[in-house]
Amino acid sequence: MILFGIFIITLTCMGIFLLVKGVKNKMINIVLVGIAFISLPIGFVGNFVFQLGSIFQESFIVACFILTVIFTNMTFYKNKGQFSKIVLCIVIILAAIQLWFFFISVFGDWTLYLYYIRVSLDFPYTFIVFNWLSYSAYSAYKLIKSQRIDPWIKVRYKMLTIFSFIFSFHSIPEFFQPPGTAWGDPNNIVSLAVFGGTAILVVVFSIGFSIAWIMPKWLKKRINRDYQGIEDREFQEKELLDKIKKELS
Amino acid sequence: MDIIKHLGSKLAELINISAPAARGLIKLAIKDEIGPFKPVNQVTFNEFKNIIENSLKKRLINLEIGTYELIVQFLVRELTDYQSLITMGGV
Repeated sequence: MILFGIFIITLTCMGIFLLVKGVKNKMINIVLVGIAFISLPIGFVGNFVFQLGSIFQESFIVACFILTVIFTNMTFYKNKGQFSKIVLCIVIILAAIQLWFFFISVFGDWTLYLYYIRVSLDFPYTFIVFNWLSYSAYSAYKLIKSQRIDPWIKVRYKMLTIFSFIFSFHSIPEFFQPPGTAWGDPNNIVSLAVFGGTAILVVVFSIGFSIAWIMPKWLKKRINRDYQGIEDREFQEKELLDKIKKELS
Repeated sequence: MDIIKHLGSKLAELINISAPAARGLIKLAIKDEIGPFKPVNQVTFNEFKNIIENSLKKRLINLEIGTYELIVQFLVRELTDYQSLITMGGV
């Protein structure tokens, strides 16, 4: 319950922070990832607290995952070919399959066989969404690490890489969940361990991701303490052009 | 803004001027393209691309830089490679 609370609160705060920042700075990708991380707690609270059902929860998870991929593509892959669009298409297909399985589980004949197919497809689904973000952040980090860029920005890249990578494995414990048993059933040690494992992964991600985005000023200053920033003086246009012409001659 | 710092340092190397002067030139090109009222941290990837391809190109021509086409192509490539700095440094 405590882990669930931490997860909900951190993701909601981060989502609202990103949404406000995105609107303020008119950054559509940040608005979308803000909505994505608000969607996730809405889905879980709707299901676990208000008993709105697993289809309600899964719909919000689908929204979160698809928006996360759109965020990754808009942040790292503009003008960079078609591969990012293929990734998005694959995620949309896997999301639709997950939703279909949830509909079957509620309204159709749910079997053990279908359960394991759903869980097997859930792994590539979550793995692609968050590994794609992790890989993209890491690839960009490799480019910027030797450049003269504020160290706190480099730390943000690293945090995004690490925590997204960790989170991309969060569906693995689901394989070991005994079918027909409630998540985290205190009378079933395996179910409890599966729930605990998933909850720890999810909380580590939500805290790490939140620190990466809502990095306090004191932390940025601390990370930047040995860095000599670039401060430009403001030139008048004529003064600047004269300076450039002089440097060119 | 870190993307301007990065593009500025590349432009400085390419036309052999100081980095502050190159950053100043890019900031002038931004003003030419989107006006003086839009904050620099709200400039999008597509706007940066247009800035390089239009107003910065014109300013390079006015400065009689012969290799302006190659410089524009190079800077657009750099912008594409380092585009995530717009978001990662802007939040």
